[in-house]
Amino acid sequence: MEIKVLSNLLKANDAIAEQNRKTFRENKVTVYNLIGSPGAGKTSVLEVAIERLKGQYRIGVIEGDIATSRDAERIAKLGVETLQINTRGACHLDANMIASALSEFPYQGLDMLFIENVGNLVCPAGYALGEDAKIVVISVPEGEDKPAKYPLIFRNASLMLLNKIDLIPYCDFDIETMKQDALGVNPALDVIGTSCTSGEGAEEWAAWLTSRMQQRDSRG
Amino acid sequence: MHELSIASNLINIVKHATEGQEVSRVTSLRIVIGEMSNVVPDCLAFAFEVASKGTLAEDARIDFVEKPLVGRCLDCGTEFGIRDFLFRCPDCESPKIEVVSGREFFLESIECEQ
Repeated sequence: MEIKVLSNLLKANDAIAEQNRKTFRENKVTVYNLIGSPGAGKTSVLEVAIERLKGQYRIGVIEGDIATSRDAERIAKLGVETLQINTRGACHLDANMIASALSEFPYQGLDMLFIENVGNLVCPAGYALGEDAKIVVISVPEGEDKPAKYPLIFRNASLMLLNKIDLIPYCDFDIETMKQDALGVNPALDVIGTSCTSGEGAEEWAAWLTSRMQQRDSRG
Repeated sequence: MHELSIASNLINIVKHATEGQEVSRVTSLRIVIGEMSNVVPDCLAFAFEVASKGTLAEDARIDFVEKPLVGRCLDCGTEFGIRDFLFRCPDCESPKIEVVSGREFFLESIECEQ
């Protein structure tokens, strides 16, 4: 006997993500899901953005890591509301972890919430959390082939931060090939090169976030 | 890890679908999986083997129906197989491409014994 099911296997997650999205919209919180490999510089680019924007916007951060609260401690030093989620081995954050975190995190009144996902280019790409946009952070030493090898995250992201660009002279890295591959997967992808050591790209990165806030405000 | 959580979700869906029906065991499941779904059939099959122990679906086989990545050009309407994840129309070179298939990931049907 055959039973027709037609059930989306990520439906449980998608339904909770939709609920999170609604909660964020009602509270006018713009949410970014930061995704990148371990060591790409996700926490560092966040520090850069927070330092530039915390005077202007109320910012919160949820840090996802398999273990430790080191990233949350770094971010908390900047004086913004921070919460650490430890996934205890899970390779990605899912919408339910965010929903549970919201019960103990004062997101109401925030303008921007950054969710730093577990370091991984694969699994986080498939799990919506309720964010407005995904930001993929990729760094020069990882190699220019990442958009070709991990297309889903580049397809789903709104912005690619190409971090550690100060290391280009020391790596065999062709920035044009990388941009072409990334734009081939997602022609609408914005690309900003950053270096958290030299400060390059910091203004542009902050301006990207600010312009999205202004777009949101002009829509009411 | 990821495939194991999908497998336990799969078991829940199977339980729900067979509820109230006279099913003695589930023999196979048909799962449609897109080329760009980021799920590895072998890993999922293995995780399912573990997660299904002691349930109606223990020892059930999974048949995967793999869907290639297909796009449609929003400018000229051409449908084409997307190769190497290049989202560009082969006819008019427009980058405005809608994904027609290749993102699927769902349980289509289950085969059971009464």
